[in-house]
Amino acid sequence: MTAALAHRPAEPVLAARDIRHVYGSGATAFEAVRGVSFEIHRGEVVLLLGPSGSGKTTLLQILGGLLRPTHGTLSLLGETISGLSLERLAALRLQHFGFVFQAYNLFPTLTAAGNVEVALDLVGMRGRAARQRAQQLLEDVGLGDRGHHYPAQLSGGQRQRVAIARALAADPAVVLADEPTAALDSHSGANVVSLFRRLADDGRAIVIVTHDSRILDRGDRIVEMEDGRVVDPAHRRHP
Amino acid sequence: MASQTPRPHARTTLAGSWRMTTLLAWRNLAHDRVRLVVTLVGIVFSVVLMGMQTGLLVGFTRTTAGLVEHARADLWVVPKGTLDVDLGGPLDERRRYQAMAVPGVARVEPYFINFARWHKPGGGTESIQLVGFPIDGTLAGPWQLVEGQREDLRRPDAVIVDRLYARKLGVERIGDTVEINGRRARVVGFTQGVRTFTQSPYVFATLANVRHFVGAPERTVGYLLIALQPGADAAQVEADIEARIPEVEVYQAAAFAKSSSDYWLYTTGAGFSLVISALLGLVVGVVIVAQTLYASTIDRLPEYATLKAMGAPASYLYRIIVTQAAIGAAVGYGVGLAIVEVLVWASRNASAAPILPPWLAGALGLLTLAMCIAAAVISIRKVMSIDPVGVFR
Repeated sequence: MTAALAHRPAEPVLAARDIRHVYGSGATAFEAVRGVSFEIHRGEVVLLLGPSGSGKTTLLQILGGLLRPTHGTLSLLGETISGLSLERLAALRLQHFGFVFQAYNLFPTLTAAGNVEVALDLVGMRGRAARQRAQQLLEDVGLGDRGHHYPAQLSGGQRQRVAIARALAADPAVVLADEPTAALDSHSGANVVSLFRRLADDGRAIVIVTHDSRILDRGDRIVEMEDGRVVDPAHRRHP
Repeated sequence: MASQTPRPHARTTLAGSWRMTTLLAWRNLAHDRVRLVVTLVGIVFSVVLMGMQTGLLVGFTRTTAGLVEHARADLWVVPKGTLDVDLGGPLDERRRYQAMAVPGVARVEPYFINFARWHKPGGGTESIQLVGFPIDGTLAGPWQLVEGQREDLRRPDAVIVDRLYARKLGVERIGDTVEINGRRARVVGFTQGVRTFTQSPYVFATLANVRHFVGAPERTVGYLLIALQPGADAAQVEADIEARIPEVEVYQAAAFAKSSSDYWLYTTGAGFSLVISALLGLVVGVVIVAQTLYASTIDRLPEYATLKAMGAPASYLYRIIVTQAAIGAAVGYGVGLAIVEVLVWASRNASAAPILPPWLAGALGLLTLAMCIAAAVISIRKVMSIDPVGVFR
């Protein structure tokens, strides 16, 4: 399916229908996500908000194909993927999703370019082509002159931009970011959010889980969750 | 923002390259140098212990069978029940004529090995093993002669000893005289590297002189060495001789060499001890490598979880860990083998010398690799259990 996924513009890139997820079973069962439906189209930046325990991280894991929902369907580029095996989901993540983490999750023993090249290696791009592509991606995030620096030699904002460059290695349709600005100062955070905006403008769908009030006006939509449900399904448009 | 979809290489899959997993493995190892040193010390220790113990085992095996392997006999006729060349009982030399009558036998020579007391010139005695053979024979005699000639043994009371045991026997040069069982003997030559497992040095002499030294009757021999005619069926000749001479057994040379080695190495427990020590080295190596590799894996769990979340297949993560183990094995083996070679060289003149033939060095390398990969299993199991959803917690 991975190679056959072809997006028709009218369709959402990612669509969740009546997603539920239960952790545990019997008396200890806990329903973290309770019937969430959600869509995101190319060019959109969606901010996923909610207090701790609201289910937003579980929803992000399901949207990213890391967790299979106990109920409901998830579609990527028009194809249902929620019933796929973990191996097939892993292959889909590799080709269609980019992940950005709060703690950057860079490989400390590799340079900035090396971190990007790992992701390129996973999708089969190697050698000079991979080096050139990594350099291009780093230039795209404003770090063209930092390719030989190790993560420890970079600021928090720079590390997050390296993580974004790595997430873009496979030219994914969807980028999922978990609190990408939480550890950054306001200037670095603004730069990172601008970067996400540009990614969306290039035709990607961006989902950002955040508590950061500084960036609430930078999304196209805000989806707010509480107790496993979307509390305000109305899409709030921001200028 | 420029976008360029990566095109997977036509000949590769999405599983990632060995080059990248090797780079990650090496960086993981090199990043924590203290742990790297501990890992390498463990592997080197293991290689040295295994190398020396198995080298000694090979050395002992060759030593215990040295008399058999350096004789040019196809068959050995031994008194019934004999398991080891050093401990043969007496045979009547007249059996030689019975053996010569068997079809397929080209030549039969007597051979006589007997323990005796060596009285050193400066006082004191040592146990020795006299090795007697017919001076005109072609099937046995001293080897690795470095001083004197085989022909010198024709002189009355002449003996040849090995340089390794010269000091033990209290002799230094050709012409030194000693007593064997109270009878005068003169050193006429030296071999170099003819070792004995029993620590009673071999002393070569003619068959007649050995009988003289030990006071044995005229027709006493220890073994009959047989050379076969070209094309003769060894098994058939062996069976024919045993049928004609009921009080003997007949071994093919390789079988008697093995029997002699097995006797000393396994019935005495010496070989078992060496094997146990070598296994101990293996276990120590596995434990140290497993422990350090596991600690490294635990440190890197967030990175492995990140790779899994990105979509890396499990095989990609296993490759990193196995490559780490293999790099440790290669470096540890290289250093360990160099140390073993130095130790083998340093002990070349010892009475118990380890030997490291190329096949053993190769086997040691494979064993080291297997040891390190076995040690990686625990880490692999840990990585298998990583849940990639953890990266979003």
